[in-house]
Amino acid sequence: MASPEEINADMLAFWNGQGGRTWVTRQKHTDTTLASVTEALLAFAAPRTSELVLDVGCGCGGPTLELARVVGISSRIAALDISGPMLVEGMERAKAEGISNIDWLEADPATTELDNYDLLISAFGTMFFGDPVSAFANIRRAANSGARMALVCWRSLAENPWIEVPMNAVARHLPPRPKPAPHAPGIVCLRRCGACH
Amino acid sequence: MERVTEVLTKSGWTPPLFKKLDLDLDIAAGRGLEEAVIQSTQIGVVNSWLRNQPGEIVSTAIASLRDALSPYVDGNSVRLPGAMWLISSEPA
Repeated sequence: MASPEEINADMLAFWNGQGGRTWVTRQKHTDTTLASVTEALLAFAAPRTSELVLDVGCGCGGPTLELARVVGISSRIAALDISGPMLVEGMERAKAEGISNIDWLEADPATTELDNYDLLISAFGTMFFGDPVSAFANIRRAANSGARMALVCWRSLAENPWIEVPMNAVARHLPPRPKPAPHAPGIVCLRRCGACH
Repeated sequence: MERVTEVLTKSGWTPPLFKKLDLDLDIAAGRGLEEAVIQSTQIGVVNSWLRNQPGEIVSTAIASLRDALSPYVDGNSVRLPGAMWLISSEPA
């Protein structure tokens, strides 16, 4: 199994390379597909005006911008991602809308010293940490007294036909792949394993 | 859920609360079956699987993908179920 450092290095390369650029190209489509998820996450997080918000793994900023629209200019949002191309996209979208209370930060929330926050949100942004305990401990250190966390992540593959149907259709044409290592980061919940089913 | 609880409690958070979120997701974003096929091959696991495969295999795999998504076409939408956890916690 790859070490946490190797996993993090792979993530950095992917999200700053072709992977990140593809997600930028597909941003509008992806935001549309996930619009109802964003709406549910923000209702669940119940952000308040004047709060300091940390958005982990903000990507191209779909939920971040919606959050900024909801809480208004009295709040400050720190939007973190390791993908430079996706942050630039988020920044440009914010500028086009005249939204100025978001700080777009190219940083790894697992290791960066973070500013204090009242509300932590993340839409599928916590599932690729190489060492999730260390990452969440680092994020915890910047939490203000009374801070809240609100995350959304995928349940099992079997419960997600939108992921599984394309995977099964394609898989039968490809050579068998090695099974993912236990505890390896993956798209399903914090990792790809039975414990999250 | 057990793994998430373990990760969060070990890193200084209270045991999390889990709330199920089930939504049908329009993977075509209202733009028809071909857009759903393009999106599915460019974003996510399928993209990584098809990368560096011979063109013939990619074409066959995409044709199968199109067939597999066809039953879910609803006008210009292609809706498939998505299942998520909404997770809340606080500093312990």
